[in-house]
Amino acid sequence: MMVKWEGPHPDEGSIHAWLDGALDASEAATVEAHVRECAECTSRVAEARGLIAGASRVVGGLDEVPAALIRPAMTPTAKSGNSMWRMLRVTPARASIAAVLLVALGIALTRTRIATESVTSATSSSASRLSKEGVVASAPLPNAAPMKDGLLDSAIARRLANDHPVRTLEATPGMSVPAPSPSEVASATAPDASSPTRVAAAKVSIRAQLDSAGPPADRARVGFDAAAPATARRMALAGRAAEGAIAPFAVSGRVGSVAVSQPLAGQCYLVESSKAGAQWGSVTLPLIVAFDSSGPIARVMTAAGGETDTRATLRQVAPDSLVLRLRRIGYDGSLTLSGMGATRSGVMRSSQSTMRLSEVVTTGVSADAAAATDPARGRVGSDSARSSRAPAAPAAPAPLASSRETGIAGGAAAALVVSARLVNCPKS
Amino acid sequence: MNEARDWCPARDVPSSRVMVTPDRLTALFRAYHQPLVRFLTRQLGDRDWAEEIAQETFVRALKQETIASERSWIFAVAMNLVRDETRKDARHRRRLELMRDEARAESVVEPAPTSMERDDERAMARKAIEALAERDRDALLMKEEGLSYEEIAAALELSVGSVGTTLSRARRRLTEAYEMLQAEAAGAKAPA
Repeated sequence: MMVKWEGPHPDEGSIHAWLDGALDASEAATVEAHVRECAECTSRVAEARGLIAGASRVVGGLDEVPAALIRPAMTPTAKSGNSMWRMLRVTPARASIAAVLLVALGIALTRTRIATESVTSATSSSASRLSKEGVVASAPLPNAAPMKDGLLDSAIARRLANDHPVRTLEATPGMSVPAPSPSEVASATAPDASSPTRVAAAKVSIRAQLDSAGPPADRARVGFDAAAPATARRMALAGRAAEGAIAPFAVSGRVGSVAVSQPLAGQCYLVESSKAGAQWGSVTLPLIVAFDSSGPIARVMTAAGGETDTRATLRQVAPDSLVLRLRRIGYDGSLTLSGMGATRSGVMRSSQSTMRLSEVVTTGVSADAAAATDPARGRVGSDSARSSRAPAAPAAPAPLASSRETGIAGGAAAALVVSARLVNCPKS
Repeated sequence: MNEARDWCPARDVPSSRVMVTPDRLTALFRAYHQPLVRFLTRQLGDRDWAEEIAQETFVRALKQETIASERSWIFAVAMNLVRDETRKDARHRRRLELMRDEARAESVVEPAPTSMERDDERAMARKAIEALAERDRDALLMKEEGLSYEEIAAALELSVGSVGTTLSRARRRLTEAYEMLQAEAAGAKAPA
């Protein structure tokens, strides 16, 4: 009996019938031909595949295994929480929706956060972030225009004195409020870039951009006058976002300060995945997450112990879980590890951010200018050779998230099952 | 030799009619007992009960002279039995189920953490599957046992054209329900 649908697009039932092999040859050919041409139907087919696989898994979970025997196929890979995570990733559709939310939120938050940061140079309490801003922004800029900075500083102080929602963001994952002094911040965020000359050089180059950038930079700087509507809007947005769940993995939904629990301080986890060439942000797995004893910021290193400019901040530590936020210019991501002790398993996600992020990072310079002055961005905390990798800043300005309802520049966040185990920290 | 009624040369299901000789029954049993038990376990959440009903199903098959579309028939009969029994004795059975689950939970058969997780997952899967409408659930579970659309249509007295829609609805609701349960469980576990 023929399955019929109206119009060019097969309905959901027909898509499932097609995927189940229940359509006869001509119907199947029709569907296949259409799907090949139709992007919308292609994504519906992808979603259907996900639902089919997911439902199959759930149904499989209903089976009762005799007590004495665990079927190998059903056995979680000996790490607690692993199969739970597999069940979570029920459908690519859900994963992509979650990714959209994650990236969109990340973009919205980061845009505001970065915009705020670029100005709050003196009091960047979120040292956890992209270490470049952390260090550069925290140290006072060279006194080319001391008056402006003075105004700026007082404006910032005023801003921070108010109980503004954005302050929660400032306090970002992993850092406790109130903001540490700039010097503390500088030392905390640049464990491997303590060279004052590098910092100074970075500052100078940033300063040069600031000065040469003209109106946009000024706008960024003075934009924190309380009257600036655009900024206020951005802050309101950030505030609202901060009140909601920040990331899918933030189970508590609260941006809280997280102290490094004693067991973690000074420890290193080697994170691996079975997928070859998998990456977290711009770092290829396997990688090492090294928890400093000084705070909730972990360094991310290559498996060989090489430095990267990626960091991870602790968002949540519970007896049976660990959530880390990826800190790398141009990327959003997280790593959630469950279980306890020396071996854990979990899920890792990362995705590219939009152009606006790196644009604002270079203090309001336009996208083109940013690309041109890339080498001068002076990423503190890494070798300059590595910093010129410019990972997530697409050369062409990508459409902003705001211009598309659910736009994701750079693709959906890919989720990856990973395992992590304690290793000796590499000597750096 | 029994008279073969409406004997036709065997064709692919759904319309083949086969005599149920003892040999045939053995073949039926071998082919369908395992999937039927699995199907019933998933339906009922209770393997012992599933075995009972599977037995009863095959006993009834013996009483048939011929069976049209064997697999559909077997699953349809099994499901009717399930419905009858559950209607008759719903509360009693549920109580028994609960008691059995409790007993299993308390038994120290497997101290390994994997089995506890497995039980948690199974409990969640059970809740999720029970969130489905009966028809949707039946269709999905049959599909998982490899029944074709025609067989499912025959067993459930649906039109073949509506099996796809039924399955798509079932799959979507099931995954949604499961994810919600996952989220609840995660929320419950996380520190406030």
